[in-house]
Amino acid sequence: MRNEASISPFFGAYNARHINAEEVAHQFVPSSKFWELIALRNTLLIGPRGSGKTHLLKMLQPKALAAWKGDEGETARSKVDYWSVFTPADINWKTQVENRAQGLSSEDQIQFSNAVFLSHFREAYIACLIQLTRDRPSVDFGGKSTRVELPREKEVALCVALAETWRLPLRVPSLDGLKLALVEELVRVGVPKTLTSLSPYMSRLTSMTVMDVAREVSENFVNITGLYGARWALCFDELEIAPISIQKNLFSYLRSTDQRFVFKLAISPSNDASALLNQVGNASSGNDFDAIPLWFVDQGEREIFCSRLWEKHAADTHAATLSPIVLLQRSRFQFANEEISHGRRRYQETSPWVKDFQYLERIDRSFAEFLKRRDVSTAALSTASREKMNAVVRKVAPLVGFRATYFTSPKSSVASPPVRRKLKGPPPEVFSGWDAVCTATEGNPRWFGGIASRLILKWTQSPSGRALTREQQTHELQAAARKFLAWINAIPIENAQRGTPSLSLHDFISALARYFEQEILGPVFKADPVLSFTVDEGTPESIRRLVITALNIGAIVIVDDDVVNFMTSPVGRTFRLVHLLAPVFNLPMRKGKARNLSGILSKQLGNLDSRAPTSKRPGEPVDHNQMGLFNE
Amino acid sequence: MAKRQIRLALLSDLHAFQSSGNGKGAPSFLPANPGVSDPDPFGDLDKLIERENLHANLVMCGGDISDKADFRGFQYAWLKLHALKQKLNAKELVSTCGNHDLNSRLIDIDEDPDPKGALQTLSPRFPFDDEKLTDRFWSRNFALIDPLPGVCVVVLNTSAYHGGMEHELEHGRVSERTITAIKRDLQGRRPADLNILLCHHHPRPLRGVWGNAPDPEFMKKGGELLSALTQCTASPWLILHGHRHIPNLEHTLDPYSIVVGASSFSSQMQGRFNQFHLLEIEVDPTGDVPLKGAVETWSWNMTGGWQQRPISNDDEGFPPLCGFGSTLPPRAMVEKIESIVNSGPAYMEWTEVLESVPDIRFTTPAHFRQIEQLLGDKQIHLHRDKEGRVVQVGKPQ
Repeated sequence: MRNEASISPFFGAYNARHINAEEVAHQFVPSSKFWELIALRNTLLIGPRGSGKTHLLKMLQPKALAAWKGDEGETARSKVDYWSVFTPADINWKTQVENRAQGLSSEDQIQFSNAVFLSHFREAYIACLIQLTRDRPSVDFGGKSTRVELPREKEVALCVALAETWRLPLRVPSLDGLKLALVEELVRVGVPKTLTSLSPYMSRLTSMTVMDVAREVSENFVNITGLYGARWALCFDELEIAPISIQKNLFSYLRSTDQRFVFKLAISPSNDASALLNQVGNASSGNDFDAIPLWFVDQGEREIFCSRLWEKHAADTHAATLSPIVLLQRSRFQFANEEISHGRRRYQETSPWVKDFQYLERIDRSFAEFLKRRDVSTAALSTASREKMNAVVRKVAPLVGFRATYFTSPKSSVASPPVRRKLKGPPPEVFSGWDAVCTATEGNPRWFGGIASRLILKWTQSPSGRALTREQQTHELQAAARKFLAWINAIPIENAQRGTPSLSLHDFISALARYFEQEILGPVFKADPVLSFTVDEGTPESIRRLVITALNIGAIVIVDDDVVNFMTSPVGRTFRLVHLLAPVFNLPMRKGKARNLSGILSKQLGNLDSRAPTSKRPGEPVDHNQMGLFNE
Repeated sequence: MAKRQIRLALLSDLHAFQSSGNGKGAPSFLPANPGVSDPDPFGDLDKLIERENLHANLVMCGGDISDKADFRGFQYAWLKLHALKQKLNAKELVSTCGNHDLNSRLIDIDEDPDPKGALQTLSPRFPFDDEKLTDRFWSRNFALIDPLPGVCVVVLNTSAYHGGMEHELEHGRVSERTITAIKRDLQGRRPADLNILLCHHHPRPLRGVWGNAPDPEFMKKGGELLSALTQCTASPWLILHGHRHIPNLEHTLDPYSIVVGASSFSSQMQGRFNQFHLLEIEVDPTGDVPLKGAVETWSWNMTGGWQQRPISNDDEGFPPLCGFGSTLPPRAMVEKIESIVNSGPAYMEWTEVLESVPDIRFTTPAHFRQIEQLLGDKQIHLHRDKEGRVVQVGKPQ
């Protein structure tokens, strides 16, 4: 299911696609992922939408590196031993190419889309040369690693040589003129009926590969400049949008021994490209390339990254001198506003944690029974044995607090289950505080940026200048969650056969969420609720595709320990809902144990077979939501 | 006498209005009660000024500040214009009124018809801070000011007769008496280095705007006015106007005087850009060409704010850069450019060409098109950046 790419992105204002190299540098906050990325090695960047893939790749461009102010910028420039060519991808561009190729045979369509992509890549290469020579940032911190002196005569010689090789009409023999000529050539392509009607420039491209194009530019550049040591990082964003043949080329190059080029490819966690990677040349992670997943497993690392992002967003505001903890306070179920963050004294008689335990014990008989079974007394939590403290108390404390927030005592007998409070919205005690903001946004820079900016704006507009209230913070998290859910809801579903009920992504997410909500807020207290799911063999194919879509758009994340971070099939893998959705679904922001997906959905939706895809009847048209020009 | 440079910010036809929320189409992108999601051309202009570090000696506004005598709109925009003056570090804001600013159609007047009454109650005072000048403007339909040393500005009300005879609403006018009075005042003064006439309506019919139909909206007796002005002073005249929402650049019968018409700043229009102009005027009272100017223009849209944008035809607006006052005809210009291109490597930066042929800056859009065509015939091509500015010139090898 590829249609999610054509919907406007969630928190789209923070999409790095539309900002130039200099602005990228001004907004950039490096995480550990960046320092992995800049190594002189082939790299596969893996992450859902908004995880920062484009931003990271764009930061490797010469102009962005040269614009990066500060010590980290200097460090980065000292480590980068290549010049980076950034080739963007755009689903609208892909659609345009498909439309133009409509008149061609299937075989010719492949060659045509290949040629268009390669021309696009050439344009990106020339843009890189322009950044190295003349397109410099307004304040240029770059040195040799990001700049090349190219006298005009040599520039003219290079452009003339390339234009001649490419059979490209060139009006002004400068790099800018060459780039314009490439753009104009594509504009002139029109809607060809056969490949023979293409211009000499395009015709030549139909039989070339990415490496052919890269070598042509590189060799001409080296011949003219004498820079024989020149190395290039060829960066391709959203690889799943590129033609299949191009994807195949690029994956095969991960095993290439051409020292002049390294490849840095950005892909979603799961798509057809991953299957190609497994098929083509058996390039392997760790040997031929580094796989860098763009989600944070380590909470500490995530918080450090979020702190730096916050600093960036607060930089030109009155909030610049204040730490986010001052503005937002700590979160209730992390270290709260109490002095003690850990140890037995956290469970002193008067501490909020103890009060939660005692309150829930009083109103929830199932919890009281749980404590009794485990031989834990709420009157003496601080004196519980170390073993009990670790195995029981600390483990359930956040769940206890969460549940206590949502429930009140039963109206009838004590034996009845506790009653859900009538809350106007998500409880502010749960969904507020710095820790909650970091956790909810999962370290996703686009999400974090969107929410942090709003919180900072709200604070700067507040006349009192005091910390934002928990209600205000919860309101923002809830608004973001709703927006994300609305965006998910806008993603079209695959065509189902008539009469077969189809499941939308929104319904799928909601069904999971309702199940998890019952686990944590059901009538019986559970010390180890199910808050994640494993895709088992019993999961229908259509549901598996939904899982893949949900993963690629960032609605779910992988939580198993498998080293392989990208996949063609989700079977055997474990996932959870992103914490950003927790406020609207009343879920705690934690992982929880897993259950088979087929079991969960059967319980929520009934017979899953009715949602299974039917086999195609002979002569049935291809489902165009799934297949496009770039699939074979 | 030395040359001097004067920078004028020129904007006109804002058409600010008070939104009624009744779902009817808005006349402009300037509601007087803007919401968070409403367009904000002035806010975007502030960003442009900061981004490009712009400044001006004077801010000139050609009228139609409000739409259909919308007083709230006028109040709002008038304050915005004053803020713009501050932002540009300009010495003065010089403004006239347009036909839309006067309640000449007597809208909502409840038997108290007073076309210019509302404008006379404004604070800050309109069009001048000085009460006497303002009174003069309203009573005599013009006022003379000296906002800068050596610069004289005639601020004219070409809508003065609106609200009188029925058909007056359809065009501007200056009366014979007003012309005589202006002449008398000018003749009593020391000659200025530069004279400016600021008015709302264009002084002469614009060609080609109505197809084959004649232009009915120009300022009646505008031609006589121009003749009188240029004959009674020994310095060149720069005539600035608005009204038609399309740019205008033409010479008068006097070879050293020029008429510049502004595009609309914020009116909603099809097929035309909203524009803001900065005129860099070069005044050389005793030189061969006493008046030259380069016009730098930014175009606005809701998503991109103010940017320099290429235009595809004259009606869309001014190109990002153009000028007036060049003494070199197109063929002479082409010869010079060709010589420069042939003398060096296959291409030149446009800045290098401008150093050698500075008159290019003062070339009108029409002449520049001719130059580009003639160059093309010689296989010499101009390369523009994405904002439509020429950045390089070269020939294929």
